[in-house]
Amino acid sequence: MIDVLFLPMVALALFIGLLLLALSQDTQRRRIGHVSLSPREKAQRRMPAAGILAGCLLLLIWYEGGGFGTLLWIGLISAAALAVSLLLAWRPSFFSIGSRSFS
Amino acid sequence: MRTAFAVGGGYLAASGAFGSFCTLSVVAGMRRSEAVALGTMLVFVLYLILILWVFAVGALWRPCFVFMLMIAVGYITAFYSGSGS
Amino acid sequence: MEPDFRRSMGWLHTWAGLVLGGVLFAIFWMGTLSVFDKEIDLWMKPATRMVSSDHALSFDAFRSSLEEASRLKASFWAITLPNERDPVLHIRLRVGARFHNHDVNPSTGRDLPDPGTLGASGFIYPFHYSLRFRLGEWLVGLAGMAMLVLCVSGIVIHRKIFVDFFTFRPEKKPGRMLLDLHNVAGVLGLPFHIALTFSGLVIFGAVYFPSGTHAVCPHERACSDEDIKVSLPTPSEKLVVPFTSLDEIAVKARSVWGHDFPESIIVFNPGTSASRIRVLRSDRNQVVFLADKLVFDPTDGHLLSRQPPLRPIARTERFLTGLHLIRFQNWPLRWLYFASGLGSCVMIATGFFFWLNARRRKQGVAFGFRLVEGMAAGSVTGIVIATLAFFVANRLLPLGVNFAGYDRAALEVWAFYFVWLATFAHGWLRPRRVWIEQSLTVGGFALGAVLLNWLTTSDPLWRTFLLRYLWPVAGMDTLLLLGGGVAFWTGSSLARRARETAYD
Repeated sequence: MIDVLFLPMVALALFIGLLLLALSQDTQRRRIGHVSLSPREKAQRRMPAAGILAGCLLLLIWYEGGGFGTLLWIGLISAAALAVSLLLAWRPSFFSIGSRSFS
Repeated sequence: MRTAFAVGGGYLAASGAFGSFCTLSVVAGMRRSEAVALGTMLVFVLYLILILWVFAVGALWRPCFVFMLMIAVGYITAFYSGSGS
Repeated sequence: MEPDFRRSMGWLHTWAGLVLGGVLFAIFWMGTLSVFDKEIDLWMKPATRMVSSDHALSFDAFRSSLEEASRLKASFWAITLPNERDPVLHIRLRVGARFHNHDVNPSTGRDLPDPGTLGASGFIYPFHYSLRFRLGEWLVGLAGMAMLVLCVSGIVIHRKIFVDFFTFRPEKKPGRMLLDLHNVAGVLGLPFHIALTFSGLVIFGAVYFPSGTHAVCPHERACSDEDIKVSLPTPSEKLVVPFTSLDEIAVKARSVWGHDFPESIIVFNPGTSASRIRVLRSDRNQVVFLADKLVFDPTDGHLLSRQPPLRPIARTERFLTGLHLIRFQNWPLRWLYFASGLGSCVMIATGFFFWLNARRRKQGVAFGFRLVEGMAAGSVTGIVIATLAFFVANRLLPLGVNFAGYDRAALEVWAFYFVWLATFAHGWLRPRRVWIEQSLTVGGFALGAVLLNWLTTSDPLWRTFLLRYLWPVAGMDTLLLLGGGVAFWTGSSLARRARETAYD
């Protein structure tokens, strides 16, 4: 059971991490109609985002081994980032809900 | 002109450097297969840097000089290792 | 200096992309398909669609084939067991300069009928690294270096990589949107583009840069197997020696390795005193590409030599090789490779489209523009259509057909090249309309391939989905349907936009 759900869960975690990262960027905030953040607020969002991404890498390496873990991390991060970009492009309303709960 | 110089000259220079790198590391006590493997990985990076350098630099005489030097070093090491063994 | 540097990199990016983009698209497209080469083989060779047998196979069951090989004075005879991706047992031998390849049904031990096709592993995969012509590897190598140059110069001219990391704006003007797509595909896939290009170059490193090997190995034979210490004397004396049991050797190999069973056994110079048996294990549970070799003496079956464990540098090189060849068994990762490969194709294609779009208004009728448009059409949608035509021809041509001296496998390849050439011509003859028409053609061919697979093999999608051993076929059909759908959608939206601009 864990085997089947492991990768989707990691992918979801990466997605959330990248989402936090995107929502800390002025360009993306302007596009979805949010005010810019102060440098301190940006750091507050970027630290956990970086933590999630690094944590996922460690988790993957621990679970899948060094070679597979790294390659899977690279592949999944690309896929998750693509998902974030497409969501920002076509469903910005999704983010207003998401970012309100963060800000 | 610049393109031909970058692709051709860069190739010869990288190739020469690769040859002398392998010779020198074997002389320094490295295993032959490992010297070639390491050199193979490095030579592509070197070639890439050389190509970009040719396109980035204003005057061509500097890369031209360096390339000739690298090719010459490649030939000299090849000559010495050839006569030594 | 700073803006100058950026300008020169921009110039380099444009021209390198324009000149070698077509070759790069061909390489990346064929490479992406090669990720699933065995699965495509199963689709193209219906006779090999079989349940993989569970019972342990005996190598000695193929003794008669080995004896036949020694009668023919083969220089080697090799047997490869089926694995998870390939249900068929393969026997390969070389007699003189000719290679013979037999696909064998592992449960009956009988030869399968000639599939009459090169399949993906015989056509698409070699196309990926050699473009299937002499010295093609050199063009691939040049394109590979160009890809690295394009990656670096692309980063330099892009500037705001992190600010625009997630920026994709489909609502903007087409030019802006194409550039966004090019950037997103380029930046998000950057580790993939660089890792795969670099490792591909390193695999062929000895071909592209022979100077290193020449410098340290004056005599090639002396060097090639330095670490294994196998001497393969030339087969001079013809002396039939009795063969030890191959199964016994397999058991011995297993006891050396622990639990793994040999994947393949190669007998060099069978039937002569110079014969050697090499047993290979392929560890599919690690990225490092390691064909662990054991060498046995065929007369009494004692172990002659074993490959020593890899040291760090060799291990790094084997890791790069393994990362590129994807011989390992990891389905999620395989799919990620496929998706990333498609991403690379999208990046190259949008690079072309952006160039065309930026110049269409000003120089749409100029000769140079039309030349590039035809080139781009042939190398992007054209090769996709040609590949699909290859699949369609595979399902349309009856087995054993022969035309003008070419057998079925060659005819399929001719279909590929003929259609590919036609797409270039089409691009030059019908500017503007070419994209709409070729998108619709892609859709048509993809649907046609699925339909033909259903009609000619009676393996329709609902059946292949239910049976585990037919999943590769189901996967291919599904992807063809999806791709065909996307192509139809693209073609029709392009046509709609063309109509709207015509009325304006």
